[in-house]
Amino acid sequence: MSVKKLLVLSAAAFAAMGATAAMAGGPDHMAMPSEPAFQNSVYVDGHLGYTQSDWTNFNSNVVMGTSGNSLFAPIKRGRGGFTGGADIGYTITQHIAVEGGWFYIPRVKGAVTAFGTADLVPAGSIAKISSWFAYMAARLTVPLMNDFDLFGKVGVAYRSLTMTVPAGLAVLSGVSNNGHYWAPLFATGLEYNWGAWRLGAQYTYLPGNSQVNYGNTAFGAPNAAPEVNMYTGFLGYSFNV
Amino acid sequence: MSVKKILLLGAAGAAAVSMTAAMAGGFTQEPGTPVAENGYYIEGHLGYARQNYFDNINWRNAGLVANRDHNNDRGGFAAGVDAGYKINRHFAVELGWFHLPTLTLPTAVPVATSPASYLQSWALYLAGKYMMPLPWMNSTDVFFKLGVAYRNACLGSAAGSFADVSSNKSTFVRPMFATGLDYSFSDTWSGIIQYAYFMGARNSFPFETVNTGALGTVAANVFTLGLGYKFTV
Repeated sequence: MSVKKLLVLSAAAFAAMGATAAMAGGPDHMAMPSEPAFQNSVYVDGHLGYTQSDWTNFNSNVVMGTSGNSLFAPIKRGRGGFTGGADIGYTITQHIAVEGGWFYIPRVKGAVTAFGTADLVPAGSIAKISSWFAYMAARLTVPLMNDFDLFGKVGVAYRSLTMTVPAGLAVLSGVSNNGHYWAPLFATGLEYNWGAWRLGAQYTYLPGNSQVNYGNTAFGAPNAAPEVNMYTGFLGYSFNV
Repeated sequence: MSVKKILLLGAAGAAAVSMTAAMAGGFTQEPGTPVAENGYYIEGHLGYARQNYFDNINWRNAGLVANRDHNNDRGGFAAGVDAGYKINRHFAVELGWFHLPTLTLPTAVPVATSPASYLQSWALYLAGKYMMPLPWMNSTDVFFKLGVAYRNACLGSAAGSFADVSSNKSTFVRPMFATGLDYSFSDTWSGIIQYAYFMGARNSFPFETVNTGALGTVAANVFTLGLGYKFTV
């Protein structure tokens, strides 16, 4: 994307701000309408949706990824698939909440590559990588219009990776089957509040990991994995506490 | 422009628009909140950015890092500026720019003594900012920024040839966030301690050999001290 496009979008955002200020009669502080007193609550949400995670073009794991330099190349869910998860949170103020959650990441399945057979991986071999992540985050909510809220989340996530590969591969000396990494987590979305019920859509971004495995520096596995872009719809319920 | 970029920029735009709802009376004023302090501000930052190219498998296997002294492959000097509009006591929108550390890279074997080439990078961002006073520390706010960053990275042509990549320039849009403390010396001047996080990208600098992926760029963790000035309206 060009700088020009970004500047145009920035200008649009500021123009919107200016327009709203004009509607409000300027930036002077105004009397706010009275609203119901804030009530702390605990909420739970269930999510379903699609995860985009591009193992097919990922070259840092080397067990699974790009066909030119990985032992296995994806043949199923190499670019993403179905996802689901849940979160639970506590509202501290009208705008701020703390939240924890867990999400399933689609299991990718791969077939041995020419690069793999050259490293003595038996022809016809299959490998799979399963993954999930759990997170803690701060949630910032701003009202958009009646009963509609816009929210953003930033936190820290722990991602677990489990590799299933043919046993006894000499090339994988020093590469265990279980990996993990920590990364920041971002999410944003829109929700509709209907009494105690919450209905919304969320976009979640979890960075990938490309650090070298010092047990076998030819690999990023088992800890290396591509970024995750997750698009989910959710249904939740709030309990006043 | 990809759907992801549209979503990211849409979120930032929506955040900016929704925050302006506060000016239109769309927000609830929390009990005890002081009179709104709207106005424009500018800030300057100096500090250190941690960028871990040293442990990146692609940069290491390409022979670009972990082989020269003082090459900034773990991090280095960073500086930035930003300008924003404070909508009320709690919300602001901000546009900023950061210079990220320049890496010194080899261009031939032997890598430790070959002529140098460089990786240069910067980030431009648009973010929403939420500020909250610290009850136990006078004149001090904790703040939190969430937005989108446009990042530009340029690899020197000699280093690009040495690493066998097909493109020496990479630009991408990713989420960003920052957090820190803001201490007001007066109505106009303030001191700032900030941590900002700018994402890298897996697909920066593709390798020339087909189906072998790209070199990539890594995330920047930017720790800075800054000075802010708020214009009185």
